[in-house]
Amino acid sequence: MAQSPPSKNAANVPFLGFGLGLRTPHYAEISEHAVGVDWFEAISENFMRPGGNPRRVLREIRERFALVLHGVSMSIGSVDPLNQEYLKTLAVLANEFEPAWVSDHLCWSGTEGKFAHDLLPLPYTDEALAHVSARIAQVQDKLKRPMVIENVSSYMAFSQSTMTEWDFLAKLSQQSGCLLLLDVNNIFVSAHNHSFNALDFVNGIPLDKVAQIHVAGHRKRGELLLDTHDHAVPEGVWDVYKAAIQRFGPVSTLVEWDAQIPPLHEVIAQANRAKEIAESLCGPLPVSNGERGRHD
Amino acid sequence: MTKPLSLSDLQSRLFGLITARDTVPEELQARGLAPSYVTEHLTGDERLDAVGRLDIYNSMYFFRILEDVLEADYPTVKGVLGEDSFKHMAADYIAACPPAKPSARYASERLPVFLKDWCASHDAPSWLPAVAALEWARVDTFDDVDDPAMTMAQLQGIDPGTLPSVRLATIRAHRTVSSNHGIVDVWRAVEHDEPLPTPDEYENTVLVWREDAMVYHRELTHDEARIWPRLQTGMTFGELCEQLGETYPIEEAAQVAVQLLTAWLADGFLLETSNGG
Repeated sequence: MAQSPPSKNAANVPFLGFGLGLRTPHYAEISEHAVGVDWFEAISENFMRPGGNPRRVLREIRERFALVLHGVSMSIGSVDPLNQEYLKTLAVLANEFEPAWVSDHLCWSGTEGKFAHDLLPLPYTDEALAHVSARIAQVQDKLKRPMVIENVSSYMAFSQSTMTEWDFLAKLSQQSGCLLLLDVNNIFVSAHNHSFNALDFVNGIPLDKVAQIHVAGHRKRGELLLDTHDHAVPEGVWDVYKAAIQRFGPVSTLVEWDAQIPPLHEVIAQANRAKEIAESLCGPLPVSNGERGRHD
Repeated sequence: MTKPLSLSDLQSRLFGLITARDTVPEELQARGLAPSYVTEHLTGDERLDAVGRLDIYNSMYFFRILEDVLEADYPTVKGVLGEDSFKHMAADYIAACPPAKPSARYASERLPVFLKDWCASHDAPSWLPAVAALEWARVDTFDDVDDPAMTMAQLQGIDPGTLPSVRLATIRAHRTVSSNHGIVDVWRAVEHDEPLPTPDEYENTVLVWREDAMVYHRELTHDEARIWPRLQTGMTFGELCEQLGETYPIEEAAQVAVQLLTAWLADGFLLETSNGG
């Protein structure tokens, strides 16, 4: 049934519309032309250095669009102490660019002072839940804003897990106060790799905790799927997206395309597909941010 | 039933295998460990067992740093070594200098120093570490602090009578690389896909700097190399003339100083002056 678009969604965060991950090959076109996109998500680490073209481009983008900062290196699940220098730099970046929110992944990336630069999954145990909840509290205190946490794709699972990934995320959001970034491609990939039903995942997430959705493509490797972000969004992922929109209503949606990056218009077509799906389920969804009108 | 590991022990165990130089099965064998070292804690299925699943992460660790970081940051080093030798060197580097900072941007920063020993023991050119230092300087300058650069228009607006007291200093987005070979020629050949030269042997200092979004480099002249330490910390135009006067007759020193200043303004690496203009 059609409904009026809310200014905020069920998670009580702004509905930003349909956006793209900001990627280097598209900088020039975005800088020089009007682009039909509602918002951008920038990889935090790519803009943590103090100057040069990346920061200049981000300032330009921020003048025109709503922005989210999305990190890949916080390593929130690691047993190492949180890297205070990293958090300090992230806080400076967030204070300068005032993103709608700051996100990172439910993962660990290293231990004993070393980093794999990967999004490694955690065991879903009470110990891990307490550990990550406490660290999210520290981060939120440091950043002075709520964190948004994304589910990762995974290829390995732990014998000692005592709950499902979606139960873990639900409890984590309740205990820590964080919101969730639901990556429906990651759900699809992990569901295939670990033989669970993707819809069980979607239906296990609390209605009022989803701030954002990611859609992306993946690749087959042997009998498993890898989260490669080098394809258009496959139909199976769009099916999970539909299920998520049916459950959560309009949620700010973002297309990730990180390898074999095509021309900008091809990535925008994916965002438009997301908008068509969401509007077919929720009715018209105009947004007041980006080049269709600044958000703030 | 196997006792669950603490989160700390679990991460330590898996990280050691994920970042091992060899594949996970090879690493287990090399350490004399049974597959149960993994399978007691990770699950697999008929499509891929637990060891094979962990090995996906092991493979991605190496190729992510090789392709996304090292090959992106050091195309000239790769051009000199060739594909296979570069890959072999990368494996040695990653094993010796595993990433120690959260951002992958820094995963390659220790390569120039690492190459000093590696080149000596692998019959690689002795000048390759300097080439690597040049490439890292370009990476590191690309997104360094923005400083306003002095322009010719600003200089022309200065009262000529105050010119001797005008302060000259460099923007922060610059680095210098010392070498005893013509590494700039090597960089240029790879950049333009030309045959690799054998670089001439001579002492030189290469300046790397950023102007707006572009990173440039060139060799410093002998005069610039002598002046550089003082220019980095700041000197007046009068002091520049005085220092050049140690090499040139005084009237010629002023002329050389003006020529240098003109070149530096065209290059765009002088910091905007606070006095005058």
